[in-house]
Amino acid sequence: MNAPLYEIGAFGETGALVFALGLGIVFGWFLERGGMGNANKLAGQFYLTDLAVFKVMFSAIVTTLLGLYWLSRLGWLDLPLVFVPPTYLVPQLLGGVVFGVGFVMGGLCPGTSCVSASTGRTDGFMVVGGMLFGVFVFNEMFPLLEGVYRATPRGPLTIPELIGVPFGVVVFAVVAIALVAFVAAEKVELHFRPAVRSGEALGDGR
Amino acid sequence: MSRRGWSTNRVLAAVAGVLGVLALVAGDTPTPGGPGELSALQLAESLRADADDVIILDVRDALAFEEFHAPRAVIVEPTRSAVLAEIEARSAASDVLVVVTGGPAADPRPGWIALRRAGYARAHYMPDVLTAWLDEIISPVLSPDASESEREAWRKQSELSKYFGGFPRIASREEAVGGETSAAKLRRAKRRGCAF
Repeated sequence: MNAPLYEIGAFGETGALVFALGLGIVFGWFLERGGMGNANKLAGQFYLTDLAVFKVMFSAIVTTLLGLYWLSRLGWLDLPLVFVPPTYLVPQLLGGVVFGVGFVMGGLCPGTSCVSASTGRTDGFMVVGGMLFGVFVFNEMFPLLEGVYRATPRGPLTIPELIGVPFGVVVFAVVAIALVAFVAAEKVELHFRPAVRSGEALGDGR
Repeated sequence: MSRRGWSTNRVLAAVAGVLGVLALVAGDTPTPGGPGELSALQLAESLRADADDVIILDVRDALAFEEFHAPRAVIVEPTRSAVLAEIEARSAASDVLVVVTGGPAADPRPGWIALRRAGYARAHYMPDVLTAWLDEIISPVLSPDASESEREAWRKQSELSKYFGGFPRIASREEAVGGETSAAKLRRAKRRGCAF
């Protein structure tokens, strides 16, 4: 087994932070090149006119899933050493709602707001500022919120263990769902995006 | 970018589809995050089945170890090299069950990782052995509102608890709301003369 590198002691905490910084920059660069730093493009998700966010995120899930499964299957990655964050049902549901409301209001999520700010966009800076302010308020109010924060702990949950099927079956199912969803997303975009429809109707070949 | 009518997106989708279908027939692999962590119940069952097949390495400090440790546990330094040195000194077979136990101030995962790297496939860890052992073995408590399946599981757990000198019980309605701290359970267990 050659990975996970940090867990097997290939580098220490400093090395891990430097590695994370490098990965973050590369990830941010790809997000920016994919147009994910533009709030208008991200907002298209909610109007069903541009499902790029859905496709990017689902692609990331499928890539990671296939990567983890096959690297493990080939003996290069010791999967039990990969950290799985514990599940807390109620606080994570509440967090999802807060995240969703923030996403709809700002047109950016935490990662894409950093990408947006790094390209000099004012709305990106505003969302990053709001996010940091929220982090500050949460920390100051933590004694009041701790009960909710630690409610309904379920430990580290994974789908194969939860529903009792082999990992390979879950990999196949998720990939199949993703492929069907990508085709469906293309059709939804064509249906809801006026420019595309009018472009087709006019025979616009651009 | 396209190649004979196939865009890059379609090529990538096809690759993902092939790898997904192959995953169906390629066989099973462990899931992320598991099965490293061991519950106190699983440890107790293994000890009762064959204590000679279990090695328990406690990476907490001497004070915590003196206060409580799992049966047959030995104390080792909380480093990968110390855990490996201890297991090598015992010339343990690679299929033996090895459990690294820790606490709030002593992470057992580095020792567990070192054991897995060294080929001990049945290496496990317990993040907080004191709390887990007290809650699951010494003082397992059944909620008065438990379902029939929970009661059946608890009957098995209470047998195991009694084997290790515990005192399983059914909580009153007030207790079910208030609960009891691990420290209180430890004090009560020691008053009963339970030898850890």
